[in-house]
Amino acid sequence: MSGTPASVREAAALLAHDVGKYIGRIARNVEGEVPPALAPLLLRDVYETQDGQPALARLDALRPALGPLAHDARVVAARDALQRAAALESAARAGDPAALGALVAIARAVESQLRALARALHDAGAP
Amino acid sequence: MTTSLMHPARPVLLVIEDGTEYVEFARLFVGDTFEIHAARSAREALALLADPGADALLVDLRFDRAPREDLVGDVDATAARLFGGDRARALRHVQDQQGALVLGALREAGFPQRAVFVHDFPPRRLANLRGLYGDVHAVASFDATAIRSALAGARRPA
Repeated sequence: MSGTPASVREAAALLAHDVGKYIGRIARNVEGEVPPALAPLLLRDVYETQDGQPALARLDALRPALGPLAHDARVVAARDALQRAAALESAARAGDPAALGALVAIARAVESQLRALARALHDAGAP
Repeated sequence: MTTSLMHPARPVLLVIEDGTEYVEFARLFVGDTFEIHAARSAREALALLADPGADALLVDLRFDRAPREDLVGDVDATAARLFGGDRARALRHVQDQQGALVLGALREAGFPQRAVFVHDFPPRRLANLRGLYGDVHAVASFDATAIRSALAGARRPA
């Protein structure tokens, strides 16, 4: 993993990449009940994203580099959603269809929020 | 003459990334259409494009897990040119843009195959990549339908 982001924009881009992009990898392509073959991959995207750490831990590691934007509504909403995902981990790992379905919705929402934040900072010409 | 002597039965998609997420995705969601090959560096991609070849490329942008020696790009020159000599920032930049640098190396070697990135490029950046590297597409997320669409019709040069 790269070092500390040098700017707020870089931190937001990393969040969109390391958390948003990978958490949506399977979730983006599931309609209805999660097929058993995809469930382990969905679980990995949420709980072991990239270097094996949960998406929530990666978000928390990058969040301070966002400075005042650490409290942006999109970041807060993404974190709240990832905390809900953490609470669902046992049920999701046990294959509970409702928990897996909730994970899909959470992953899609987190991806959208973090991508929107990165895009907004880019479009605003943030440093 | 059998198909396998000339070309694989399906077109080949060469996935270039420093992890396994893209290749796993490709096997799951476009593996019915493409035969999936994988490279972890420009060097491996060049070897696979030379033999057996590929019809399209699916390229990761950020290579932060690749060994330094596998990266394309001169960190010292980048540090001097863009970051006032800051080599740590230059290395991050080279890692963050590695997919584009790899694509540049493939184009330089004469491989014009369609390249698809999974990245939310701003329109100007995508236009710049197309100006530099020709047939380049970008899909903002791992959306299998959009990626299939971006890859549709891609074929290796005659």
